[in-house]
Amino acid sequence: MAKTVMIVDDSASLRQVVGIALRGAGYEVIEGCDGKDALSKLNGQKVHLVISDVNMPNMDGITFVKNLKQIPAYKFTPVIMLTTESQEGKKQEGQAAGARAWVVKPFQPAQMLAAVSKLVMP
Amino acid sequence: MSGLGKMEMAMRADADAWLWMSPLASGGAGAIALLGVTWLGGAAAQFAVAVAAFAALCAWGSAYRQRTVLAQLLRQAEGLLEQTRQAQRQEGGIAGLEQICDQAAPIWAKQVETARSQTEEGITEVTARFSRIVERLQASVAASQKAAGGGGIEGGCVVSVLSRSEADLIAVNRLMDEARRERDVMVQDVRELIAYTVDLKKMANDVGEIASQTNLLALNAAIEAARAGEAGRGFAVVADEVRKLSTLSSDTGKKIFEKVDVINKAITAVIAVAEKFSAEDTRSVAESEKTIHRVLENFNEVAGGLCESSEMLRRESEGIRAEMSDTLVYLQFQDRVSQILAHVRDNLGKLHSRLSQYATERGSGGSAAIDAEVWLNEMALGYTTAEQRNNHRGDQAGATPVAAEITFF
Repeated sequence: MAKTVMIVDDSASLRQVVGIALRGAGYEVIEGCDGKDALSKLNGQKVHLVISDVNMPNMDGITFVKNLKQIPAYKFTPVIMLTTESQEGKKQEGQAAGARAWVVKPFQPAQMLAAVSKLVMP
Repeated sequence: MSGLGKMEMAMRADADAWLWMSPLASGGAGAIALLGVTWLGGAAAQFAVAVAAFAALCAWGSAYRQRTVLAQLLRQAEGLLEQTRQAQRQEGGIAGLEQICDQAAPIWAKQVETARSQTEEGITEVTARFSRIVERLQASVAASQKAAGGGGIEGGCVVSVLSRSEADLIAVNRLMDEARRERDVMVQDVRELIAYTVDLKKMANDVGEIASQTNLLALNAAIEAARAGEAGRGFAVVADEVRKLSTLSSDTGKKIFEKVDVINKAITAVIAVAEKFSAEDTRSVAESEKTIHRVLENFNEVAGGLCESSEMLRRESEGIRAEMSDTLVYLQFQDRVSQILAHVRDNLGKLHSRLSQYATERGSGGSAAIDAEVWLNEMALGYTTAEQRNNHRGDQAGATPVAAEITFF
């Protein structure tokens, strides 16, 4: 059965780019356009991994990850932060919020797939 | 004419008036001295001349001093006038700039947002179409490879499948040939039955021969019985019965001979048919083997081309996959561009708000000056990309960023 990955990004084109890479590798993809939208769409459904942007309207990525980790069903769901931010301070914020990896855009699809494969829940 | 211009003209008029009034005053003093000389005469006249000369000198000195002071005042006034004009120009310029910013900043922000949103929509559509092309391409490649047996069929390429099919077909042909050989053996067995029929014919002839001899013997016995007269009557009956039996035996021998002949002909006919079938089967097996080889050879040629196409397709597919991967990296530029433009848009909005606030405060009498350094620092806090920060610092930052490594926590 295909694993499900959620992509959270306010850029529709970037969601599509990540989606192309993941669908090509056999993953099912659900999308959220910001943290708030993503939380409303999760709705208890099984998600094996989350890829989230940091700078988004309504609810930024760090806040989203903090809120996600408060939900028992997603407490152990691995999160990859995918962002243009490369500053150490921001990375530490992501790590403190509960992210497992930090990928700076632009990303190589092969690298992203390797990270997803490494972290995705069984 | 402005108030300052009028003041300048008045001052110039005053200075000229003073310049001409001083000689007039000195001339008046000289005239009074001349009148004193005329009225008093002698020493008093000398004194009056001296007084007049002194008065004239004082008058000229005073006039010179006044002119100098007035000239200084005039220069100061001109300087003041120029400063006022500059202040007026600056005031007018600042007011104009404020007006431009007030009206243009929201337009700039809208233009930036329009460019950002149009680019985002365009790239989103391009990416969606690219996604569909990728899906269709992958499906086509998979279908082609499956058709060519490049992975869809167990065992690999269709050529190997054809090789296995060739072996299977030849095996079937060999089985057919084996059956033909077994039938030949059976025909040989049947052919050997003809030898038995020859023996049977000989035996039937022997039966006829014995019957003939028995008949002859019975005939002799009947003659001897007749010669014996009444005493031989019983023997004559026996001899007659023996003769009848020999006749029956002779008939039976003939019938056996006939039946054996029929059997012999039937066997010969069966053998002939079997031999004919055997020859046809031999020819058919040889022909079918040739046909199998020829058909499979044709298939091999086609399949070989198909395999080459499949292999080329596979290599092309790998190349396309690499191109796709690179394209996906380049398509991500929109996200960075969008973030940079959104930041510019937001800052133009903030600038407009701040200028409006400044204008309101100034209109009400007191306004806090805009601190450019604080403004720029706040602007820098909103940056989300390295190139924005580099641009802010004035570094070279225009190059497209390369795909970065991943940090695992």
